[in-house]
Amino acid sequence: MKSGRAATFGKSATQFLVGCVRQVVTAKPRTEPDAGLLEAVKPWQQVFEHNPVMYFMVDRAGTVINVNSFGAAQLGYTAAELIGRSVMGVFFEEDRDFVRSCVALCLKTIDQSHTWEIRKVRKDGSVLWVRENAKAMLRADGEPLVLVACENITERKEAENALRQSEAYLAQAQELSHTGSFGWSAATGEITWSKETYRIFQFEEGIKPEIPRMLERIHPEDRPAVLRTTGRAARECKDYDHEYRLVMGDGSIKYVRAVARAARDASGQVEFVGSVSDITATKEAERRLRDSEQRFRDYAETASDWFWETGPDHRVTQVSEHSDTITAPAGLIGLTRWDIAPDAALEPEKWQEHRAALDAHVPFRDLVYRSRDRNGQPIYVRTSGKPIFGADGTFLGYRGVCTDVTAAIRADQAEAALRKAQAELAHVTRVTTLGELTASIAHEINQPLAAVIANADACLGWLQRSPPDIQAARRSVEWIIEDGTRASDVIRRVRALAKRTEVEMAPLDVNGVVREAVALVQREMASHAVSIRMELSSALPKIVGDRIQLQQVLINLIMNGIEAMESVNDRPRELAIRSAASGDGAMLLSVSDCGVGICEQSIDRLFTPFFTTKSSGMGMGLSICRSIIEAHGGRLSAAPNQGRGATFQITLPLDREETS
Amino acid sequence: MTERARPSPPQEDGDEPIVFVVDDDASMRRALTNLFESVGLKVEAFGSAPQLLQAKPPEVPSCLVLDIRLPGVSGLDLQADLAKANIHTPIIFITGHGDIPMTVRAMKSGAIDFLTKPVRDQDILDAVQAAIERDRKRRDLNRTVSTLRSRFESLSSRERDVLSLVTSGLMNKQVAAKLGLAEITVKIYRGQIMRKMGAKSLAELVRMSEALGIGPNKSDVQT
Repeated sequence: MKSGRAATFGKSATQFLVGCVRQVVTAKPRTEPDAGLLEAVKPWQQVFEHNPVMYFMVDRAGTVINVNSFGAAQLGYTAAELIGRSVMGVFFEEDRDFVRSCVALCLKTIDQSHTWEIRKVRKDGSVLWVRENAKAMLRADGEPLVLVACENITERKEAENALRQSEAYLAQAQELSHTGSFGWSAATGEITWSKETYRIFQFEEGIKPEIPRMLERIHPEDRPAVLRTTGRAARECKDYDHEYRLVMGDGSIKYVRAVARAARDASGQVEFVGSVSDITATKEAERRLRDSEQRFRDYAETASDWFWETGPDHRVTQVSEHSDTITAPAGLIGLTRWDIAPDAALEPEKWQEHRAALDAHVPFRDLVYRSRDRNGQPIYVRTSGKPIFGADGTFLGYRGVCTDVTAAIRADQAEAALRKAQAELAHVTRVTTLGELTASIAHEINQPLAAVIANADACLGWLQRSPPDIQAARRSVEWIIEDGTRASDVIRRVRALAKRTEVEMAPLDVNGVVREAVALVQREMASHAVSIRMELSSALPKIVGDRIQLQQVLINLIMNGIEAMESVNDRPRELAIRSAASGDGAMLLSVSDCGVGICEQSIDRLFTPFFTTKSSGMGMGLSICRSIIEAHGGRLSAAPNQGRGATFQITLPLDREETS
Repeated sequence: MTERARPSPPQEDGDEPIVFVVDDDASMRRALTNLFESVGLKVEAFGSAPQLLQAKPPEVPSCLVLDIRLPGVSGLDLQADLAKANIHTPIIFITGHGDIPMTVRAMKSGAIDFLTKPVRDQDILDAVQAAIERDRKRRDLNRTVSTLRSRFESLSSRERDVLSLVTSGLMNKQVAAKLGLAEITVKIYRGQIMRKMGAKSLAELVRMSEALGIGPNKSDVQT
């Protein structure tokens, strides 16, 4: 900060002081003091000492020749401490050159007064602002002497500083808040702007703001409104508050809000003092918020979902409005969720769990319950929610979303019903197939039983010999056991096929399934003079499937093949079953016959229910087979062979766990 | 394929009967073999008709136990094939389920018996016994006829003409007249025939010619 400035001064304390000193000085020589003179000087001495003005007498070199007690005390010294020392000691280092130049000026212009303002340093280091009046005079011996009278201006300086600072603060605050201030005299049209206002309008500082220039800045669409508002305010001496847009030099748009207070000046003219804020960021945020709100409203309205809020007592306080749906239930306000759901009593566990979650104020997800839509139709609702808390952490309730999942649940139920129906149908056709196989199955059981009886008779025969052949008898009994086991195996397999069981998916060796199926139709093939050729790949990974259903499919395909070869008499009736890995995470299983074959046109219809070329049978077999294979994630297709007959091919996915 | 667990019966005179079992079911085959062996019968078992046909025809009294529903060539087909091959081994059919047309056809084709599975041991053993007995008789008869035939074949053609006419009941004089021979010449032929055929009387000679199937009707001398 600039320390002060030298100035010539007129009649002042210095002048008075100089007068006194001159008297004293001219009254000398000290060597012979005049008693009368001394008496005359005394009062002035007192004045010098105690006048509440700091007086310094300094010689050419700046040494303090004299200082009054008041002055010394002001600086925290005694007069004795200062006298004889350089006056520079009471100035700040950085101000000393200025002091020297001031002293030099005084010395150059003897008898002329100068004044300046400067800081002094107290003994304790604190600052003392002074206004100094100084004047050099020549002593009798011709040595110049500088007389300085200092007036304490610290308070004023501090007030000035404070003002300056407050102005700086204000400017900074304006800059930070993007708010400028202005004054407008409606009568004269005079406008004053703060720095920030200039910045907002992007006008060069110092150029006088004028209404036409301002209007130019304002968006053309907003100009009429601005003029209307300000015009009326000026006429009626009313406050105003309006928003408008500015078009900046680069074409960008700035939103501003101007607020002004009307007042009348001393002459009764209307004047305004106000602020202009750059609210572009706010506007932008508002727009974004509005967009986002709109977006969520759009989502909410198009997503047939509805939003809800519950209070701390879990009663519904708000449900989002839906313009075009009847799904969202009405009249829920004030109810709890368990008041709404008719299944609350039926599934107490579910609701206990849910209420525990609510009481713990934790989020919940995907609670499904039954409710009714606006028309009173039963619906299934799935809801998720999260707790809301106030700023002070108090629990305010929950907020969440509900979805009508009736269709999905109905579809699930329908699918489950379909699956069940399919399984039942599969069972029925399986039993039907078994019925067709009765003769073969009877034979399969009768054969080992006949063997058992024959072996038992033989055993008796061996025992009746003399001597009895015990070894042969034992062997006979062993064979009886073997054949008995075989008979019971057949019965077990048949029962497994006949039983209505849940579909049981398990890792399976397909070749094993093939062998078991073939065992059941062995006789059927034999009696139709059909020979079977099995080409089963030995290195097949397992598949996941239901053993019984897959056997059913195979038996069906084999029976089909046997029937297709019924009329074949000119060539061996051969049925080939092949299994192989297909290389793409699947395996192939095929049943080929050399029978009458199938025509391309009927392939598609082959798998439709009730399609049959036979006089007996429902025509469900292949349709069931396909649905079974598809339930296994596979495919069943049919194709005519190159030569004669047809091939039915099954593709089944391999067990992922095993292949991975 | 065939499992033979034979209690090694003594080869007495080479006339020990054999039971042939043909069944595609291994355990059934094994059980029947076991049953027949337990009563001291010699058994040979086959899994299919072709296997049996490849085997040497038996030289001893035997019978065939056949599953009527053999795969490929059925029991009835085998019966026909054997007849064609002039093998007259008696056949006992076994089937899992009675089948009247099949039974009729089988019996008409000379089946000894028709048994349904499971068979009672006594029934099948009786049937086998009877079949073997019948075969033995047939074989004895066949053996006699073939002796006569070889004797007959040692006769000259003139002697056969005389035999034919004599056994048809003509007097020597009539024979001579028919053949344009002297009566004495016929007498000499007649003596030679009696000696060659080993017949002691005219009545025996007549029986022999009947066994050989030569009678006056079959004679080619009739004009």
